[in-house]
Amino acid sequence: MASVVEVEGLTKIYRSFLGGTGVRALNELNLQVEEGETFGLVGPNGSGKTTCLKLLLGLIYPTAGRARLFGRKVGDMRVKQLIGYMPEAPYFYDYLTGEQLLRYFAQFFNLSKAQRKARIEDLLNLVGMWERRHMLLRHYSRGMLQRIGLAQALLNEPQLLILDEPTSGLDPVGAYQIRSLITELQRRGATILLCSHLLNEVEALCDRVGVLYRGNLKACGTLEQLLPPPSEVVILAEGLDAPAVARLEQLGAAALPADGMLRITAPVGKSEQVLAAVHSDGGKLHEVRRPRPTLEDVFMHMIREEAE
Amino acid sequence: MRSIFVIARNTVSDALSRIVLQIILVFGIMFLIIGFFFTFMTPGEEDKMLKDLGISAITVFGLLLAIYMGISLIQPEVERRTIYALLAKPVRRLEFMLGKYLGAIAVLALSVAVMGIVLVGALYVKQAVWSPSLLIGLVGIFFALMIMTALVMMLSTFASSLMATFGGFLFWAIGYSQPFIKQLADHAENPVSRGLLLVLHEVLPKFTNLDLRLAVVDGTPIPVQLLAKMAAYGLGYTVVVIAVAGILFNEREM
Repeated sequence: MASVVEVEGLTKIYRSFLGGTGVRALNELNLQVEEGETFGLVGPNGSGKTTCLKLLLGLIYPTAGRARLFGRKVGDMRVKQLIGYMPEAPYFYDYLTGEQLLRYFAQFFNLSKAQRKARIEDLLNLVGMWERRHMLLRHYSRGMLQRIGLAQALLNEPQLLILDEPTSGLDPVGAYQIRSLITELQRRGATILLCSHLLNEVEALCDRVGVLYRGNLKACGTLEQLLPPPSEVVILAEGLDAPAVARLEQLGAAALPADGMLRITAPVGKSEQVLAAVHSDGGKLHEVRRPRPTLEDVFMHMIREEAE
Repeated sequence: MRSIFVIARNTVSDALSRIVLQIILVFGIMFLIIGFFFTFMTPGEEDKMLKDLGISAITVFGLLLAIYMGISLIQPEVERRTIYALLAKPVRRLEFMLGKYLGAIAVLALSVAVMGIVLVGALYVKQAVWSPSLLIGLVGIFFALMIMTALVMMLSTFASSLMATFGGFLFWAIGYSQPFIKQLADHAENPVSRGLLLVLHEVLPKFTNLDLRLAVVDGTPIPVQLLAKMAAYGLGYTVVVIAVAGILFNEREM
């Protein structure tokens, strides 16, 4: 079966009116998003994430390469019936109320009047905006606009949901609520393409991740593929004297004082020996854990490598 | 087709909620009312002055409305990024543009109608003689405004709002100076200048074809054939401009 999103050699160069070499915003991007998965596109500002989304939505045209959604050309009206898009920091017609905006957008889909009414009611409840549905958008907070932005993206019960920085600029409560909504949509089987620079969010929500940097896809895969296994063990202990610490250091561990205790870091391969040494020297164990590198660690490592 | 209608309706709501548009319209109406009290300056020809002043006021305030509507249709949607969510829906760019244009035209028709009713009311109070030629004159103004809005909208598909406004006034000035431009072309000795002036004369709108102010003021009967010609010219020119605007807008990157 064809992928929901297929991108092959997609390149975008922004040229000025006078020509010149221009800015290469996206460079020969290849990626697929499969049905039912949540794919995260991460990267710092200016890495080409929004350019990629704009190309998929037909808002801009590629310099080279091609993009297809549901096996059809980008911009095909049959495709647009199947997708939902939530722009970054949504801007809508501020002279409309939340409900009027949804009513306006709903008219572009093949829905009867009764279906539109029911769908709008459901969505306003889903995003928690039912009580504020008669309020003008110009009086909405950023979080409320994000919620209405998500609601308008869901009007057609899309098979592919494209989210551009869905929690950007929200307070922790607002961000949590939007993430919960996305989780609920995942549970319902939606295919989601999520663009974000919030790596913890992507790590929490996405099945696969693509890392964009300066227009190039630096890595792409599942979190298991991208995140290396834990390389060290962290032990919190107390009651160890200086000779005991010296013995730990001889085993390859590093010990630093932390909150009245010792924070001992040891390579995974030496963990059993280090634990045995702590025990034999009369140390009292408080915590032992094997922290896995986060997407942020991997991402920062890639960026540093690129800079060097 | 449905999308065009939906966008047109939203454009009308948007326009009517805009304070600038309301101010222009109110000033237009105020100008007509003030003109009514100054007809004493032309004793014996009050009705002529009232018609002249009225048609001129409707033309000028209509022009301001047309330019304002023209620049408000596309560029602000792109600048405010409201167009992103809309074009992600099953809406073609051409449908978006046509919907916006038809909405603007509906607002202009309403504005010309309101100012026209005020003028007719003033003539009625003055017990002045008025003929159906006044109505045809208003239709001529409306066709000119249709063309103007299309031209400014076409400019705003690639230029800034400021440039489109400037271009709009330039088109308006040239459109009302076409006989003068033709004369210049006829008398130009330099073939390049002559060619350039002839191109301007042929390509740019001839608002003089739609200007019936003198006939309205004098109360001269206007043949129905002229109305048909005006309609053909106004609609034909508009369709061509919209087609060019559609091609430009389709190529535009958001």
